[in-house]
Amino acid sequence: MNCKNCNNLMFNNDKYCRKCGTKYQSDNLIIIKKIYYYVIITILFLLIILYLFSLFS
Amino acid sequence: MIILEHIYKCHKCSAIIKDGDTYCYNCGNITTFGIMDYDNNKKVLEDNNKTLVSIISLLVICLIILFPVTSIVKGNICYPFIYAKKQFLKYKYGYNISILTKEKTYHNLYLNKEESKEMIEKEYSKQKWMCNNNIKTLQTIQLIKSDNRILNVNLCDIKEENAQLLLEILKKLNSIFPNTAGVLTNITIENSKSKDDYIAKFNPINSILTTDNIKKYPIVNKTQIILNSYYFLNKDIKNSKLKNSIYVKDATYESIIAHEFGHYISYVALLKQNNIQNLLYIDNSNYESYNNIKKDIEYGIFSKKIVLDLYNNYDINNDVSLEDFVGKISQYARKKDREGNIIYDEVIAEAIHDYYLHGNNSNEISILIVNKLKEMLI
Repeated sequence: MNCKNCNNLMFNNDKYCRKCGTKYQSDNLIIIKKIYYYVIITILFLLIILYLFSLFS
Repeated sequence: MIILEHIYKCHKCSAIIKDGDTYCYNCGNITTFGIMDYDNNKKVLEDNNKTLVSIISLLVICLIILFPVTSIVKGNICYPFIYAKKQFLKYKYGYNISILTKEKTYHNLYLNKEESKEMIEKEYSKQKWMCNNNIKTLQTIQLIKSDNRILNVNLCDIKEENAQLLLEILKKLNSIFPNTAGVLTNITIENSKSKDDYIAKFNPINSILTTDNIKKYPIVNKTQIILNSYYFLNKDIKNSKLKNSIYVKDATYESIIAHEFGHYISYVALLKQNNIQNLLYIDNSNYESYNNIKKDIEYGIFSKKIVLDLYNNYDINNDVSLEDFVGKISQYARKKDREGNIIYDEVIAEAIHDYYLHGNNSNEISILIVNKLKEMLI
């Protein structure tokens, strides 16, 4: 496997990249994190829209 | 030959690290090699989600700005959620409905007259933040309240033009019947069972406090005009046309509201005839009168007396039947109950309705009834 940040080769037991220090994360974890961020962004965005609509209603 | 290889350990976790590793594979701590060549091996803190985190931060900042603005403009920070609920209900029913929930009634609560008044005045006060009325509408509502000495005018979300219309109707009725203010306790917008059940209705005695003990008082009553949310929150009543009307000639949605206020005027006349100011607070001093008035309303005794007196004086030669007499006002005035009796309350309301629309050009029967009421209200 390779580091997601610098593409340096990582060994099986490595928790951090030996070259850049980026924490190892599995592909699934990265996807879950992204979904999590997108959900938060969507909620916040909808809240802002709702507040703006209600303000000008 | 002995090869001596130096073993390097992480300062933090003591994991054995390889020669040249700039970061510990176990704890991510920078190694001696990393420190020695720090500039070249500077930890790239670039997070894959850095952009997303920035967007979130920006949105949070926007919300933080919007919170106080909403609180100032709409009176409550949670208003947008009520707005969303209103939109959802509008989508569900196809038209705007009142979002307020009916206030509860009380039992066995011992209040004095002032406290009872206060209770009526404070009705819906905890829900008023959910309403969206502009300043002009709020001013109109305040005028309706003060001009007519009404304790609680709850016109949540009413269309501005409808509030104005209500004020005009009341002004016109007050000019015809000047001494009728002060009995009505509430004007409230409510949702009817089916959307166009009624435009408005008059409820002379609506008990919000009852007592179950032997004495059966104190009792607190509201006298209210209930407005249908379907019409008052959605339609421009003044410019809506009435189709196939059985009411008086030229009746409009607006004048039907006047018809309902006609019931109120008739009720005020009934109270005045019995020397009663209002039936807001019932205790031992007025319990008997209260029961008499209730009975009178139930059987329409007062209205019947007015109409029959006028009929008997009008039709000396018995040329006109009673039904034709009241039918001169409108088809609706002929309305009968289940037992086939004329509903005299409706006759009076229709007479007022006619007078509201046509003034001195109203039907002669309407004028007779209105004049009789005027006499009673002096």
